[in-house]
Amino acid sequence: MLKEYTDGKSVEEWVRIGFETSGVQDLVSWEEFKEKGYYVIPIDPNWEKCHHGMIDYYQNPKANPVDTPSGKIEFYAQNLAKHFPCDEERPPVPHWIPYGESHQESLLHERARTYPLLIVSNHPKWGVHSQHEDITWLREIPTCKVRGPDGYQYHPAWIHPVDAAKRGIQHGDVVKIYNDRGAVLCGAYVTERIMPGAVSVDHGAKYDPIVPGKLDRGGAINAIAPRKTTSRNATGMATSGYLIEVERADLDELMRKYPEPFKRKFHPAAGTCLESFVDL
Amino acid sequence: MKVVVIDISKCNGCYNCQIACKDEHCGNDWMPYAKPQPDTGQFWLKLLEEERGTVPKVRVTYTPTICMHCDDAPCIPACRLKAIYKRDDGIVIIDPEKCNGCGDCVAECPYGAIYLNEDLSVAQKCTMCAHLLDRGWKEPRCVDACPTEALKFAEEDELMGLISKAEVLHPEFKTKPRVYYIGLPGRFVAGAVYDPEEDKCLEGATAILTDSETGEKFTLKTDNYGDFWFEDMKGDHTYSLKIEKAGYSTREIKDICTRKDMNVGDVELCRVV
Repeated sequence: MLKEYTDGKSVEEWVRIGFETSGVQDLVSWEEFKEKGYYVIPIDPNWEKCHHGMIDYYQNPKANPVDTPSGKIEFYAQNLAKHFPCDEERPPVPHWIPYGESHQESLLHERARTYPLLIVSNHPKWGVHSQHEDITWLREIPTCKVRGPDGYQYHPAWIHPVDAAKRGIQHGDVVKIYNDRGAVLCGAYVTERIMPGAVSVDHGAKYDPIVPGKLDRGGAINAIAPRKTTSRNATGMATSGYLIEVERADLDELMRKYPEPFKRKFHPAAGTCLESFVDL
Repeated sequence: MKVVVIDISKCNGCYNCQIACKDEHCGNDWMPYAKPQPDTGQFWLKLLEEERGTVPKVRVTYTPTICMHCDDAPCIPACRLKAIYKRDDGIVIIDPEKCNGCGDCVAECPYGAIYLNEDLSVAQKCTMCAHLLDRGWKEPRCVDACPTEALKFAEEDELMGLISKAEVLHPEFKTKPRVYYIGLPGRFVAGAVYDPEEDKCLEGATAILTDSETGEKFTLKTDNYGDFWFEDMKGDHTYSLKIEKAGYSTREIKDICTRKDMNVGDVELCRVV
């Protein structure tokens, strides 16, 4: 399976392939890049002459129209009105609706009786999406990871003291965040920095499935995000602001039920690694 | 003599200082000043995050902390091996050659700035990057890495202007730290005023906070959200709050204790009929 997955190539060979297609292969030699381990892309020497943003349109909208039927920035999108007149979730003028045909992720929908909290899922402070997830110096910062009683560094879920108390959750507890699409485990970070009724889990934690597609130990919160696009005619993702419920996770019970995934190797300071999933 | 001056009001909590410190010292041997710091678990520069207040009146204060390089450093006499010394420039160093890792200094430092490296049998802490200063660096890595210049490092004379308005952390320890702080926040008393009948925030209401001991008064007008924030009040102190607006009945809240930052919550002000 390793061979199939890696195409029989070593890590270095894959790095080389990435390098060759990165755009910097003409600026620095492979040897030099390999020795230094990084390359800082230089700024365009003529950057001061670059036209920034939409300045041309701003200065002369008639001569520099934007790509809309009117040539202007449209508050009312004529193309949406023409091509998707019945799309209530992406109308020509964007406006708030509690829920629609694709998404029922509102406290006003009856689903909120079962899943009464809203997820806030931001870009992480301690990484770029899922990159830098294994950096030990970041993972020991309290807002980056929460160490569980099993020694595993769980991804933090910010929860307000009022919501935590209602559920018997204390700071540092391993919690299960779930909805009808699945569940992820997180470390409770009880804080006044989140509104009551909302739970904040940054996206980008490394997926560490206990039951693939159903239950994740790594805290990859996108695993329980809505599967549908923002509307049936739009390709956006709805990865924040959806309904969930939180409860204390019974780790002992989970370990009894799923012994194999919990036996997986992990580095105490860097988390899951390649060896967690494949025999090297 | 060198000093560090840290301006809390400029710190945005980016942790560059903490990470730069680890980049300099983890796995790197800087004898005669320091043996390598272990990859995790030690914070020669530790950034503290303090959450203040309650939703929705919340602030976060970030405080970078290092060895205070005290002029009356309790760690120096605590070391039976005389391994800890103060350089002429004021920097306190634990000599890794002499130190046997007994840990006495760790317990003695009231700031918790010293860590025990059991693998190397040595006590370790911030060296102010003495190895770099000896080579001509103008400042340690943490100061160099600070993007907002919240951390400053210089000769004491050069920073006298800042030091004159600075404080030290825990002056009650009486150890004469060489690390100074500016902008350490006092306690706040905050809240919001609204008219329940009209269901709206009340702008322009007068909030008067009175020091219960001295009678000193502080006055603010609420903003367009009905909010008022009294900043930099004394800690562990009792105040009373009066809120008034023409045409409304006056409200008074007594015995507000500033042991913590206080969000007094939403204050109802009803129209006088």
